[in-house]
Amino acid sequence: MLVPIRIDRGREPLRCLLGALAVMLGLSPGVAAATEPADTVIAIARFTVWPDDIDYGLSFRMCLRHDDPAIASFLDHRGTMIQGRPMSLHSVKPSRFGAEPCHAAFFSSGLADRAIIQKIGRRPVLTVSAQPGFARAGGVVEIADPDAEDRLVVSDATLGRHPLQLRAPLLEVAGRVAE
Amino acid sequence: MNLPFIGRLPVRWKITGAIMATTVVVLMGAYTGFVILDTTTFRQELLRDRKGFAETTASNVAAALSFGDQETIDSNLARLASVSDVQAAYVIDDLGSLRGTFRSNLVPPDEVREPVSLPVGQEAGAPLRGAFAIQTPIIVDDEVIGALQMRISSERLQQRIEHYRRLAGIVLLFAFAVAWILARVVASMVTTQVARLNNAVTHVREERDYGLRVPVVGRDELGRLAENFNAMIGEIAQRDATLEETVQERTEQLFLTTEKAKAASRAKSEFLANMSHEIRTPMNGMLGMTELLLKTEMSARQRDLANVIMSSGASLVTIINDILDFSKIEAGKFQLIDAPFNLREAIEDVMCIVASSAEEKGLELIVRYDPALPEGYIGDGGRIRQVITNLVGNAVKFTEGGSIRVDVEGHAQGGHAKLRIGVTDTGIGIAKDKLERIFEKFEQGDGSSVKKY
Repeated sequence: MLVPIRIDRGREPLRCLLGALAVMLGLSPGVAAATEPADTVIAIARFTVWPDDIDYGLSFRMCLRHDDPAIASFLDHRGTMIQGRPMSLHSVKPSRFGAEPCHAAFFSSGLADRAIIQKIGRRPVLTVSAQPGFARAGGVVEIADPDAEDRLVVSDATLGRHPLQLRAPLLEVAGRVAE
Repeated sequence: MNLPFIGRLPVRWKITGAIMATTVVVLMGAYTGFVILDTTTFRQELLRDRKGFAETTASNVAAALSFGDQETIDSNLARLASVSDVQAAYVIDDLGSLRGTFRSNLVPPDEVREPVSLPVGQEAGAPLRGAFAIQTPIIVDDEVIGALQMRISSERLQQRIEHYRRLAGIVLLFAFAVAWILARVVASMVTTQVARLNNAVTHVREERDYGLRVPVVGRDELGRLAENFNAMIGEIAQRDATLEETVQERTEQLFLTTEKAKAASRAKSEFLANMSHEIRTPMNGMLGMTELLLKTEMSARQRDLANVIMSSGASLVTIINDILDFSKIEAGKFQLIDAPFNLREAIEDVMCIVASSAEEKGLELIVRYDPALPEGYIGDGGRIRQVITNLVGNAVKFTEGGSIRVDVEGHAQGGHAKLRIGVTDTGIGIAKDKLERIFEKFEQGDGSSVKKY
């Protein structure tokens, strides 16, 4: 099943370059021990519960900033079934976050600025980023350093008032941080 | 099936054996079925319960497996230590690699300490030595990412089976005891009445005691059998009494009838003897006078008439003599005399008597007297002549052509002779079925022949 993707044409050469780099590094998708951002986000999404009343269509909408280099690692995962829906990839301008319908949004380190997090606010969007302090800044899940004790970091305060729910097994593997 | 040994056993033992065998088989069968059902149910419940733990653990380790969180995997598996019967647990990823292990000290050292090979994507199980292996897939968002395998000890199940096995001996003894008591009671209910009937039948058969009665116990088949036995014996006794009276009555009637018949016969014989004697005396006088008359001068016509009187009288005397002999025989007074006589002459005399009749019918008369035999004997020659005369006379009477032959054979030795005198003719003969009757009184071979001749 082909899923449309909106790509910022000006960034396409960079995207291709990053994709090729990912292939050269041998980073392939896999369920076990997800290390790629895309794998990690997909795995987190599978342990996340969205409110029943949101309706973004038939696909699982995965959003990234149009200038995010990690978009290359998500390309091969288009169509992957998440929560019973095929994943579609969407490139979003920073100003459009909060306005565009997204199930999940990933931000590479350095791209998750506080303004975007504020825009998304308490909308039912699973925000994931490897940017240090992301959870403390109001993001849902922060991907920690692979060498860290906890691979994932969440903020109980954020989760407490967020419309999304993370399943217990996910919370068990995640470390806690104060907001 | 021919089992003579069983056929010789008393009914009591047969019933006892049958009831015991049936009871023990049924009881042990029910016990075996119960044990199988109970152990199967126990096994199913054990596995179902432990499978619930496996599914919960699989769900709990799903995220840890996804993110390679070994610590969380191990901590989840370690919690299974508090679950009884769980000897080991393994987390396997979707590629079959072992990602987490928990082993309790309950796993015997000589047992396999690695997970068994089972398909990752589905629920599966496998029997092990002293344990079961159950496996449940680890599924996240409908995608199988691994499996959790548990080794469940079957020690409790084995202990349960062993307990039932030990209990089986007690159950078997109990079954034997119950069956024995039951069989004895039932057998005695049946065989006591049967034995009573058997003793009664034996007593009646040996002692002819038809007054015996057996007590009737109950209204079942055996009770009715006793009633029928008593009724039958009563009927036999009554029938015997009636039969005895009838026999006695008929015997008396027969005796009276016989006595009457004998008296009548004696009276008849005496009457005939007296009458014959009384008739013969005047007849002898008449014949004597006729003989004297024939010696006087008479015309030819008168002599012919006198000869007729003479021959008729002689015939009448002969008939009277025969009647007298018959009466003597019936009265038991007939006696043979012993006097010298010539057998050859007696036979020739008989042949001379019938010669004229034979000549009229064209019959040839032949006498074959064995030359080795003597001619003179001591005996009742008159009676022998009388018998031969009757036989030859009958032969002439019933023969239309051919010959009549008299054969005298036999042997004489030491002053005694045993003779066979045969009369053979070429007449109509005697039918085989009539041969036995010809020596009966007033019997002849064929009624139609009698009329003809």
